Amino acid sequence: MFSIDDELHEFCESGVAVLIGWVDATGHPRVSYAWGPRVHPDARTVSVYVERERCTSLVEVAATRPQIAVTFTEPVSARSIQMKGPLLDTGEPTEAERAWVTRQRDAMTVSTSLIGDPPHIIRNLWMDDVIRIDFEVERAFDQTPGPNAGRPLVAGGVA
Amino acid sequence: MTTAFAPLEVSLDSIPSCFEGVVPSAICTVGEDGAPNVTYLSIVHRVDERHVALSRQFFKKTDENTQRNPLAQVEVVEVATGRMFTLDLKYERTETEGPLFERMRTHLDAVALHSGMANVFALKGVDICEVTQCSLVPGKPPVSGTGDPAAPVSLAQLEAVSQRIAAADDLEDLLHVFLEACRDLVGCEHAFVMLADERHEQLYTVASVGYGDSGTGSEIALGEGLIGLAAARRQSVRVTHMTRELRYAQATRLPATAADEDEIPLPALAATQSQLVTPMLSRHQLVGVVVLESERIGAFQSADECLVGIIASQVASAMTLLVSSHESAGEAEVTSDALDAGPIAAPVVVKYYPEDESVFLDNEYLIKGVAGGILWRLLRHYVDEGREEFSNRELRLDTSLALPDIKDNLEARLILLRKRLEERCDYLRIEKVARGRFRLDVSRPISLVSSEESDAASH
Repeated sequence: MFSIDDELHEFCESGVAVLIGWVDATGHPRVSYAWGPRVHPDARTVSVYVERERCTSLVEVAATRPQIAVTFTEPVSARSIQMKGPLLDTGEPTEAERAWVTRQRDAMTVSTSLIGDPPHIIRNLWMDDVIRIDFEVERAFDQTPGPNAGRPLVAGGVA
Repeated sequence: MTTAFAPLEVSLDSIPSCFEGVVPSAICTVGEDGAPNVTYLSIVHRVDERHVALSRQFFKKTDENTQRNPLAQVEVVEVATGRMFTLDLKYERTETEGPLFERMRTHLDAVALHSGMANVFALKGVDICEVTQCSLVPGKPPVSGTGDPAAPVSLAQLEAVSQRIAAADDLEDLLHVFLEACRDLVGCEHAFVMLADERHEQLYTVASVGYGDSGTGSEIALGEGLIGLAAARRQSVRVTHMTRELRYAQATRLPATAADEDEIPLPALAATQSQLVTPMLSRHQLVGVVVLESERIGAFQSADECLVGIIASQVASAMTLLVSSHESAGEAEVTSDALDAGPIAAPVVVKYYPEDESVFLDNEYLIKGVAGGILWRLLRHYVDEGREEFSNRELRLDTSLALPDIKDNLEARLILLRKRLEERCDYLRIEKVARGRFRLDVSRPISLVSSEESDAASH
């Protein structure tokens, strides 16, 4: 089982851009932005937040604990990590979680503005009504563009 | 094989800016084990109303997945509004050659060269996918009023530019029309034209607009950097988000910013975000390139690229015609006017280095190459014979200049020389007096020193 070490934990919660991918009930791949990644104390579970309206097909299959893929990308350096594993649960975010998502979105907007993205466009990419997606990280990969893209990560050790 | 699918909810034609690469696109595929894989794509290129092309560089897993399961979904962003769209895709084939592959390869190679990552960024293939559905993603109301595409250029506007190109009297006028057209039709305030030298080894800047330093006379080798590669491959290169593309290329080396003493920096903006480099071709021959720049992301769209390509071809053809018509001009007797009154200021030391034909004025670099050789000969005639007026024809016949057989660059060299003189001193001028004839105006005494002669003298 993959374990998220401190450095990767910090990276995931540093205002990175997040993508989530899943396979819907008809077998079609689906992709959406996700927000506010949060690494749990067990270093294996990660929560991200997705727009309810955009991810109905994910919620539909949630009870089957489908495999999901989540990619974390730092806009300035283009460093990118992909984590994969089963969806564990979905839930309504608390007020504290909503505030966390807001802070992470703001941090990402700052990062993207550093490379010239207009903040008003970035802010238009998200919606307020989000739900929480918890998943277990079974595998992680270096997704940074370059010859090592796709290399499995062993940070924190592999069981 | 294209399958018959229902009409798209959103036509690809209606969202052209989604395929400009301003905001990176996301792609999700499915592996053999049923697990999804999600990553960013550098290029989603619209091929036609039902097909897109995806660049294949590093995405091993995405590539494996699409070979086994042809289904994928891509999410694209319309930068002007912030609207998002999903494209459901079905992989059809991979192309590793052909016009589309070459076009995408040139773009990636140019960015890689620009960022010093030339050997890392090789395009392995272009995946052609059928679009089975395109849908608007639920979201906030679209942003409006910022970055909206400009109104399309009318045929009447294009015709007016064509007429001005056809009516241009000389190369300088033609280049002026060209840069004005870039401003008026594309809305570009910063542009420059580089012409290919006779051996097709170098490009040199001959005209520019909208820069603090004109960059006239600056050079770049064919194949070097983004501009040089576009010229060498005779392919337009359009970058819509320079910072992101360079970051994506893990920029480790930016183009040199400190020029050598005898190098003139290219025209440059403080923070270029968009760049369009379009080759100027006449009868398949490279005449030069035009470079359009902006500090705004996504400033140049696909339609702009087409438009500039059309105008660049017209200008290149017009240049060829101008040369032909000037061949017979300038044959009138050239006067050998002696100076009425000698200049009275302190003499300027003009030093000439034959090995690269570079010319220095009071130890300040001015110009080199063919233009430097021309200036040296003109000043020799001026000092030795008191001549002020010259013809293009006599320069072409001057074997000591060793001008190549291809003559179409002589006028460009004279423009280059004139502009450099205007920028670097106030006592030497080249003024056109008639078609194919010009005058050398000198308002300071001249002292000519050739390094060859001084070397000989010192031995």
